Amino acid sequence: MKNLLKLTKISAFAACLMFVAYAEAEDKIVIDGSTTVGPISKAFADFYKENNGGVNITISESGSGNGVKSLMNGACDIANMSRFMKSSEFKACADKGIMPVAHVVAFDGLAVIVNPQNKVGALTLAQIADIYTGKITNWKQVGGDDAEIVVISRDTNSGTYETFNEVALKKQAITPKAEYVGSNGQARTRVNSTKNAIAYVGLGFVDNSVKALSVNGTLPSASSIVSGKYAISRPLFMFTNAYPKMGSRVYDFVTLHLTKEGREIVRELGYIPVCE
Amino acid sequence: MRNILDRSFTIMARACLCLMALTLLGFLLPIIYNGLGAVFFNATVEHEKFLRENLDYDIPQKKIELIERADAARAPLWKMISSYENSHGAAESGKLLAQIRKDVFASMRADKETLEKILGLGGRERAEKLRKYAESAWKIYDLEASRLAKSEISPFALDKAFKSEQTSLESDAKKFASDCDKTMKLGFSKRNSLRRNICLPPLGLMKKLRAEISLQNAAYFELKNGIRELLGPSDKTEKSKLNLLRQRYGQTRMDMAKKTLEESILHINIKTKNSRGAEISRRVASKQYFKNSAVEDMIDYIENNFDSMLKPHFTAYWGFFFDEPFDSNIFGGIWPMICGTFYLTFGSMLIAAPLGIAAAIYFSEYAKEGRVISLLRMCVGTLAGVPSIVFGLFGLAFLINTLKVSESKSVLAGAITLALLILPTIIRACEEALKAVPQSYREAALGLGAGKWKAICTVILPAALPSMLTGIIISMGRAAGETAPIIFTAATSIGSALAISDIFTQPTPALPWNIYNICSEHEMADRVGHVQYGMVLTLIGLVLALNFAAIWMRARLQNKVK
Repeated sequence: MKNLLKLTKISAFAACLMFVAYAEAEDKIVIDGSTTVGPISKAFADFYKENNGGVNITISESGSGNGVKSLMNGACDIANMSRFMKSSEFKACADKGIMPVAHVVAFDGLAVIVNPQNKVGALTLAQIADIYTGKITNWKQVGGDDAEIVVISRDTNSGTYETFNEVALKKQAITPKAEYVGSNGQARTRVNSTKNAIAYVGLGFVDNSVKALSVNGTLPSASSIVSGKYAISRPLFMFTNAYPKMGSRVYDFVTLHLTKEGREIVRELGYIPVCE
Repeated sequence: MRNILDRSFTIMARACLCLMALTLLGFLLPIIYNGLGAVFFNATVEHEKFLRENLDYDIPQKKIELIERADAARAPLWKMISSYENSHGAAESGKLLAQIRKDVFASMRADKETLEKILGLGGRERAEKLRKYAESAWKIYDLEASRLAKSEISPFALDKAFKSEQTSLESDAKKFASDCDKTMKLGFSKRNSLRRNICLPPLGLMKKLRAEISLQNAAYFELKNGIRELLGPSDKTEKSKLNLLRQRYGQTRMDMAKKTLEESILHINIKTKNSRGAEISRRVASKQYFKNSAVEDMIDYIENNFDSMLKPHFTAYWGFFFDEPFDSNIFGGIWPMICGTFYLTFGSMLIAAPLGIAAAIYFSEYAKEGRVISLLRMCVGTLAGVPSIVFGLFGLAFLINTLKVSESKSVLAGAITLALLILPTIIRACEEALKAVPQSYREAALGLGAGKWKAICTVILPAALPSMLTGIIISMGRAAGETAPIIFTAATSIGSALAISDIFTQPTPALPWNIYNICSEHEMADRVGHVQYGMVLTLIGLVLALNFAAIWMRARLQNKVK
């Protein structure tokens, strides 16, 4: 019985603490959205916290589509997106009194990746489209071994998917045999563990465990993307509700990519800064 | 017959138990082994450097000496790199080129009449004549540059020299044109034509020469990145220019260092062209690729002095549990995740336990069996069967988007969602516990003149408390390990450890979610495998500790009641 009383006392005390806490002003930036923009915002958050103490920046990586939904519901300050907002999303935002403003924080290429053991090193955009629409089903047809192609795509909630679908596939339907994965990292892991797989990821996610293919004769790299030679590239966005108030935390955060350090961070992460 | 049946059943049961124990071992041992690897591991000096510079650890004198010795072992390598990059003769050759450049410009300045004549011509003819004039004027310069390209100077130094020549040529041309403009009054279009065409031949040559050595240079850069990845930057000035922690320090763990050596230094990706002229990337052994060059010596040096450059030493990094993570978990510990899990678990318990106990008391003591009660019981049963992800979505849709318990995800929303998830289990456990209290206790209490409430408070609850607490604590274990309900309501991949005052408004990282997040979304998942295992071990440890606490508490309370 005493125990029970103690418990009640403790919970009452905790409840009091809660209300005190509620009254306090908070210093936080909540970020949600794309897994591709994730590394940039994580590095920015580290850099920002180092130079401005006392702010808690939280980042969730749930995909571009969820980022918009979060912004729409006022559940985040910044929505990371690896594609532009769709008109339906814009409309839904406006209906809820949210005015999305886009900040382009970096450019990114989509690397088409295969297993390092794969003989194929180069594909044309048309071949890639054929593979993803199911017209080419065997590596033999594009100069590789006689093996069926395992097509890996990002989920339809992802901005990477949207970009790929628009630029590479010209909005044709992806083959029903394709396997969908939830993030850039998963796509890479899947390709690394499956010999005959093909997938696409943001340039920053390419490492030694997979091989990037050249598309239309050009390998993805900062220079080939800036010059426009590499075919599949896109800007990366951070969306805020209206333009943030000058001098506010959010304003500082979404303009970080314009500063010298911000540009260097973007470059070090393997993306391409906006103003080179 | 009966005996045989009996015996065979015993054997089967034993075999099953053995199998279960083996599975448990097979499952737990790798986790424990790899998880302990996050705390106890073979560290390199980079680990001590990181701790000293970012977390203000007091590093003992012995380890500082270790760092110094490692730096000393690295010095020859940095020297090799810098001498390769500023190859012998490159500076002089650069000076020579610059001298020739100046001479050519001087002679063109002196030769005012020819220029004036050419500039007097109209549009296309003027440009053509200018180009021809430039070609003959720059002949010596071009010859010298081509000779340099074939000399022994390293491609890297050459590229640097050519690049600086390129910019100087451009700026000199601009100056030349504007000087001519002053004396000859050329006007905008003539001045620009002069500026564009006067340096066209040498600029074209520079571009061509640089393109030729670019592939070799790209391979060297790839290798240098590998060296950077292994050892970090060479000195303080270089370090201060880098922003990401992962680039400011080399590999902190010996296993990762060996992997880096194998994958990024001994083998590199190079760009080549395939038979159809398309660029492709290919993996090659770097020693083969850089055969008979200064670069090969670098690779040899790294291979031979690997240990003395990194100074591997066994270390116990307890900070793994108590430090903040740095640079998306590549460095530092998992304190915010532990904190987050703690808040969520205890928060959900604080909400669910009173509700659950009250409901159980109502069900077992007050409720009269009837349609409403059996409906209620069915509801509780169904709630227990709802998949956890549904709770997560419910939390997002109802608690955050509709009720707005907090502006965004928050520990509070997560704790409420988890509380709803474990509520049916708690109700069931408490109800069973209350039912297990012998009827005679109730009768005795009532017989002594206690009211119903008094009887519950003083007799029945204390008797049922041990099993009730067990039920509650075991559901806490479940709440600690659940991922799905907190994805949408509380968990983030990055965030600081929260103070108690923040838990009502702010989301937090939490162990179960971050384990998933690291393996699926981290951009350098290979480099943080040990962190993931460490988190798994911590989470399992936490849940096991809760379960043991339940057992211990039950035993203690039972003794007391008796």
